[in-house]
Amino acid sequence: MNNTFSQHWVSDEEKLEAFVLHKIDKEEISNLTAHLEKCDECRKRVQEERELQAGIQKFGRMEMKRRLKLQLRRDRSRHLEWTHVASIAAAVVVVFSAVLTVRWFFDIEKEKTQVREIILQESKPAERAMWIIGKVIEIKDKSSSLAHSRTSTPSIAKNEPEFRDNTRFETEARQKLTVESNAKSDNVETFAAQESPTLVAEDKVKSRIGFDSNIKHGSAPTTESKTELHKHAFAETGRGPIMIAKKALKDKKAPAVLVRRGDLKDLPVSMRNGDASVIHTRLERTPQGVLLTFYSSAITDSVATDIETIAPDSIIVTFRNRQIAYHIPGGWAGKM
Amino acid sequence: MQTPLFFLNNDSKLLDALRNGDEHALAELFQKNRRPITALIQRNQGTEDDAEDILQEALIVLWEKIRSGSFEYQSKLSTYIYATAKNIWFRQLARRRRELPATNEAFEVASEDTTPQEELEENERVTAVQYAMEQIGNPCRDILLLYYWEEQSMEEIALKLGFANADTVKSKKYQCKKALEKLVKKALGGTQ
Repeated sequence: MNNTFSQHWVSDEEKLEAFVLHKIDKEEISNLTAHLEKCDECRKRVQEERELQAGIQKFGRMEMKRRLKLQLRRDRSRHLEWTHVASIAAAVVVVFSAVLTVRWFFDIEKEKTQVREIILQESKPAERAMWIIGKVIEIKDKSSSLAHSRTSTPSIAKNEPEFRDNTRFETEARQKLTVESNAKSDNVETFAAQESPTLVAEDKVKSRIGFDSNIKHGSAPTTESKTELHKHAFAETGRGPIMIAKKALKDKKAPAVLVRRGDLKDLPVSMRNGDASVIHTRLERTPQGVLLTFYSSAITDSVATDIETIAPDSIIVTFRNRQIAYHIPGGWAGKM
Repeated sequence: MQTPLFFLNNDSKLLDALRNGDEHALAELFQKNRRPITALIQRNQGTEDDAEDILQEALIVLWEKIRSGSFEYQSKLSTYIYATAKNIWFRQLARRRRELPATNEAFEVASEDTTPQEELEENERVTAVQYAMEQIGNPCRDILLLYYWEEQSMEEIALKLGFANADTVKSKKYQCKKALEKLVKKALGGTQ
């Protein structure tokens, strides 16, 4: 660059930049261009400036293109992420719905075996016992038909399907009880005593009496009442209050059944209605097996003398003066 | 600037974003224009990759126009982008047919009366400037880009980069330009 060149317009840095950037008005451009035609050095300087600006612009475009590509890639991966998350969410919803459907289906099944579910789900070691729906399907006065007690068992077992027809015999029994309403305190005993002789010879269905106890979570007998029960049992029989009749059921899964007569004082107040026709039953799990307690004024003995399995869901319990055929829907194994 | 009302609502937000230097608007425009541009390029011997590349270049042309204030809003943005992409692609196709080395068609700056030899030398020097731009650090890079590429005024650059005033930017820009020229000379081996 010489002294004479400094007099040329291209030596003005701002003007040179503006010229290359086309930031000069048209009239001035033509003047400057006219000068460039005469000045080689000036043309070279303009060319250098143009290349410099072109390089910067090209760099800017490349950088922008790189950033744009990065942005698009990020957007795509975000979109994919969203799709991925949506797919997972959809899968979770489908699985959850399926689980709900299955649970809903089994809830219907559960309703059918409500007692069983209650026992399985709510029994805790501290409160194993509970009032259950069981059916005393036959009570007989043993003294009036001792011989019959053994012979009748197989016949009941044979007729097992009839046990399920509880509605019919319950209705009939209630009608019978209404007719004989003047027998108040020992309704069952009187009724059973009257009907027993005809039990074998005549229509058995008519003689059956069914009683439902309510499903109630009862509290376990108090320590005091248990002690009293124990004392009483020892005094009367010289044995423990619980006659452990370990007769394992034919089904190996079924536990042994233990039967005892319970003290009416142990009944919740709401259940002490004094109705002798009602036998409340209480089912408990014990280390020895299933403990079944009968609460009824119709049973005077505190311990059972014999238990006989007549079906997977039915037993005959023999007290000194009574025989009780007892049925639990679904069977013993199912309950415990 | 003409602003036909019927597509003002669709484009105005994007235009505002681009004017404010929001590059996310470019990504949005890319997605909106991807299908028609891909169809155009594929109908004319191109591939999907070509289409992406051409669309990006068209968007950058739009960016430059808007940032430098030379964009005239006379048609929908999508129409402008389509026309620009088509122009870039056909020029590139013509160049391919002549089997000339690939250059950045949209941004070619060589003088009209240059020989191929001169053009190659010119490209080499331009590449050297690009290389120098990669070497130079900030704030020089940003100042030079904002001034020479986005054609922002000194006041705008001062505001954007946090300089005290336009004079400070002007002084800094001068220093940066000299530093860049040195780097270019170094890159060209002192031949310039």
